[in-house]
Amino acid sequence: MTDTQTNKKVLVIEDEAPLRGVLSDKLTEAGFNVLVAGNGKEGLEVALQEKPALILLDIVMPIMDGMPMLKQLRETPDGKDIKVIFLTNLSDIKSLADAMEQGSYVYLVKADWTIEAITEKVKELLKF
Amino acid sequence: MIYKMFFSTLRNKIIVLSFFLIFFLQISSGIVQYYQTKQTLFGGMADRASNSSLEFVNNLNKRLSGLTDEEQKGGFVEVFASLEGKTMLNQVLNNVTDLDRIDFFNKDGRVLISEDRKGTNVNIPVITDQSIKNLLLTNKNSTLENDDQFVISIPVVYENKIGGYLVFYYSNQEFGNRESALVYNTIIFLIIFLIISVLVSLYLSKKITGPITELKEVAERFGQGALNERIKVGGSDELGELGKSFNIMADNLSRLESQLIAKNIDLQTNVDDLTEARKKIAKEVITVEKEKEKTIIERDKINAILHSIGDGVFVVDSDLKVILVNGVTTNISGYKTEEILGTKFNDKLKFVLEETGKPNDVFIKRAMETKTIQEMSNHTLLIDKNGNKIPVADSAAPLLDKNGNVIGCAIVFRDVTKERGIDKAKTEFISIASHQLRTPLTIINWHVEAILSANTSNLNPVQLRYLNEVYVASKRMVRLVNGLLSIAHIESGGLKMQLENVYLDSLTNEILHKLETFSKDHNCTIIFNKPLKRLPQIAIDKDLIGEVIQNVITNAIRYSHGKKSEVNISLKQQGSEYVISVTDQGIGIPTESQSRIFQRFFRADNARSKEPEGSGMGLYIAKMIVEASHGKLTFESPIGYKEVKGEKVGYGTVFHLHLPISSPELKN
Repeated sequence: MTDTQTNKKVLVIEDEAPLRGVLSDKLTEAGFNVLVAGNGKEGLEVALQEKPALILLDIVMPIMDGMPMLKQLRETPDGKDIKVIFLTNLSDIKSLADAMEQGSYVYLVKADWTIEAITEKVKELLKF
Repeated sequence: MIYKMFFSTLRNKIIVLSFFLIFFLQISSGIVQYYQTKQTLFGGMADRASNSSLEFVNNLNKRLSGLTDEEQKGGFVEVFASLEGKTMLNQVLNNVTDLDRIDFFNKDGRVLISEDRKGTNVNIPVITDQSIKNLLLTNKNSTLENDDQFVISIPVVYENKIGGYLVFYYSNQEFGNRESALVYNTIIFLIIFLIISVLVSLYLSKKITGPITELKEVAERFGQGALNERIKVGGSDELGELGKSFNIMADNLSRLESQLIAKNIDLQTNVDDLTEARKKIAKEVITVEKEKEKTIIERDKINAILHSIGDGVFVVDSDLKVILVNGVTTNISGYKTEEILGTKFNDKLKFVLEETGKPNDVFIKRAMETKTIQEMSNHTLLIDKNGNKIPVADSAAPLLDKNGNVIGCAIVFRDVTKERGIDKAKTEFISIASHQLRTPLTIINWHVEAILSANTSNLNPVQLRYLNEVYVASKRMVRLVNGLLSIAHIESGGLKMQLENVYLDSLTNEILHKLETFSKDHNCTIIFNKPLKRLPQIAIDKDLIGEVIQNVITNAIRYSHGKKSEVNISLKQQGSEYVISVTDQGIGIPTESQSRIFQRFFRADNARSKEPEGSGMGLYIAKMIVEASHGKLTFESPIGYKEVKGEKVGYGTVFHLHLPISSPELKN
């Protein structure tokens, strides 16, 4: 796997299948190698296994929420440098995230963002 | 009695005294005069008689010396007596008017010649009159005076022997006449002098007692109150001096009286004032008593009210010591009333911030400083006697006296444990609701977006239009949900300010950058006038204030007129605040709608017809955010007028966002 290919690998962790599907489709269309997971636990496994360049992470999910998943990810050597974009429809994500962990993340309210805009954001972060 | 009356006045005394004094002197001098005059009179007579007698004796002696022996032997005396003696005696009698008779006795006392003025030859052979006889026996010149006569006896010496005696009898009538005249004159003299002495004594007494009487009368009148009375001062004697002294005393008294009258008037005025004041005080006392009764009633009422209030209430004085406390306060805090009263309120009633645990009583001090009601900060805890932290809420109100001076502060608080629970539940609900509502909307949006962004040649134009309308409506639904969530969030007290130092020009530019597409779509040109010198940073919640600025600019663009429009943004400092003004040339806000423009869900008619999709929540949320930031959001509309179809129509609106430079939160 080349660096370029690695840079294209994006993991979408989202419990809502329709959202996961359409986002995955559009990102693939945009040229990314898209991986998907339906909850935090599954996402962590995929992430540790596939080592994506970026994770689009939902916060409220069954089995394992986004925040504890991220915490565990950061505790692994491979998980430290993976870029993370929070995708949520919660109203007060900023304070939630601050309460969980210090750090600089991008927080996007799904309802306010188009797929196109999200794709642009991913490209921007991965310098694609 | 009469004596007493008579001597009751000084004047009478002086009259009597002077009278007796003068009269005594006069009597004395009268008597002396009488005797002197009498002496002179008798003396004169005796001298004259003596001279006449001596002259006769001398003549006789001359005659005797010329006698012959014969004649002498014959006894000349007898001869003389018989012959020449008579002639000689008659001569003497003729020469001396007062002389009545002359006798010539021999040495044995026999009468030799006796001649009187009438020429009667008194033949008295021997002397019978014993008194005359005694006179002769003195053998020298002697006188005798009796009632009728004045008798002088002169011895006649012959050859150194007494040869006989000549006795001259002077008529005592003449003498008596003279003496009577003397006595008469003396009496007249005495009467005249008596009158004079009476007059003199009267005059003297008047002279002496007159001024005294006047003094007395003036003094009496003076004593009766006629203080203008003065004595006519005459002379420079003691009485004059007394009068002068009296007048000086009277002047002094008059002056004193004037001063006394003035003082009296003052005193009277003072007394009147005092009486008036006393009346007022009496009234005041009654009023105070009434007020006291009222106060007691009011106090009882207040106590009853205080204890019936479901909230904790306590009152502090200006030294922050607790002076009043109600039952709920003691229930919540766990302290007894007597433990709290008189102590500094924060000794027992400890209010702390939930987040930091630091004391939070600034709202009480601020209420007293600013004389305005102050709310407690959100999330305040009261630490009770057992150390439990009880969430509380409410406010502090300054107590002002009549003159507006702060005399204390009333603090009302309540246990909001239940409310906190409800708030928490609300927040959770909002959080879940937002998630649950937004997720299906996101599914719709993203899928429609995916369809529209892909190859749409399979869709006929009508289908494509329908799909576009679904997309627009779905986005509108997202905005509505966002707005509702924001309102619910703010109203549940979830608006937390996260202050950071921000350059307002940078923030505005960021927002303008975000709105670039939006403004282009509306053919709107945005002009941002920044101050030449960059304004310093300000402590604000960047996201929330950014939301406000974005809302105002979005409205300005959205409600602008025509194919091409212009929105002007300015940033400047005005006193202690920064002001961002956003001016559009748009439809303006109708006057009748202006008072409701910040109300929740309100939209003006002209705005509704221009932009049907608006929710009426933007300005409401913006205002809430600005006020939570201690700022102000104001507007002016219209900014001008233009002719439209012959009518003057107002246009344009300017919104001003005022933000205080020193934020109290950041200071704390």
